[in-house]
Amino acid sequence: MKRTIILVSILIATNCYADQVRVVYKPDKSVAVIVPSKGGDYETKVNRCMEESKLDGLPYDDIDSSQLPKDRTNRRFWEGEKGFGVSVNQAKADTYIPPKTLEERIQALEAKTP
Amino acid sequence: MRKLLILAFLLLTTPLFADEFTTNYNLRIPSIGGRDWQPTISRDIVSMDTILYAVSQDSAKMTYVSSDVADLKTKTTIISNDISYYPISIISHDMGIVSTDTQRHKASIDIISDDISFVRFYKLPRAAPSGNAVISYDGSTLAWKPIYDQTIVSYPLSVANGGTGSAVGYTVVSNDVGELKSKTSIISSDAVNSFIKAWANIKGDGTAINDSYNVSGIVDTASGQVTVTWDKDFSSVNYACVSGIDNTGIGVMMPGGIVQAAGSALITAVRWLNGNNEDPAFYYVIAIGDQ
Repeated sequence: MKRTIILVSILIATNCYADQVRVVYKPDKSVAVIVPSKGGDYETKVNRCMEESKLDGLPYDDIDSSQLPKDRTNRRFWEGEKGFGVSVNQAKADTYIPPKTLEERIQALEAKTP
Repeated sequence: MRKLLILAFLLLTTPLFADEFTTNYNLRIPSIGGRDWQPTISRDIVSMDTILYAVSQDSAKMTYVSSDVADLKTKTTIISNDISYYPISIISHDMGIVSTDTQRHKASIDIISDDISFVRFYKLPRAAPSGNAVISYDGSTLAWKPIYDQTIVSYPLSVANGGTGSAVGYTVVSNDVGELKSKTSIISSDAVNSFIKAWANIKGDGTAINDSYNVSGIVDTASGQVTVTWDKDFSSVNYACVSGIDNTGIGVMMPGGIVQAAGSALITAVRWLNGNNEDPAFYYVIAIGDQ
């Protein structure tokens, strides 16, 4: 039983490490999520990504990807703060008016046509 | 009379001895320390027909091939003026030396040293020996031994021809071309320029890189866009980057614009009806160019 628990713990820990991502908190509260490629040194890779995307120097958390919001419908409203994780700014999401589809634009133009 | 008989005997036996050379032989450099600097003959390794020679003072080193191609590419160059003339190729750390006959070289063999600093280049006779330990490789008669070519390799050989040698390692070489090709790759600069330098298969929600090459990671900043960071930068932004998407089950979408930097590329996916960036099922990206 003890061995089974240890094995399960190792498997869970390994899996968590494999899905580790870095969440960088931007000054406007929006977040960038860095996912390193497989293999190699996690720290080296995510630091390289931060540097290349000019995110270096910003606060960040290394978290398991399962801690990110599951629904990406409102990805543009993801916000976060170091130590507090990532969440959806529902107020912004509720008041967001999506751009019209091409068909809606055509209908609008046709309605204006004399 | 006795002298005459000895002379006659020598005359009769020398051609027979020379005939043996014409069948098969392999050059092997003797080890150092008081031994004459002369190749010895081993008829059981290389046939004259295939003309592949191994030169080594240590038979244990003769078949070593490095599998670290990346390291070799940074340190080595292939030496050969003419494969048909010099049927072996040896790798040197001297980057100034290149093959003048790339086509034939590529069609032939590549020989990799495990110790670049020890490699030396030799001209080897291409014709079979025509006499007792004498061979002609270019019309002139030369002693049958490797001839060090100082016009090709800049540093001097520290073993005197015909004498006893000081410490020099001779790295070479397998005559098993198939094995060499399976383990190594020597790539011309022309070929390298045409290779895909980076690629990735990325989960569309930006949460995982399914597989990749030369990619450090991705940065997900919004729906329908990820920045792919290259592990090794391109030399400029003037490389070719192509992206694609898989939109299975998520409606009609297409790849959007790409914003390239030397060290990264922002790739996007858009829904064509409204032009909005949205997550595809997968992103695919490849990049080709100078690094």
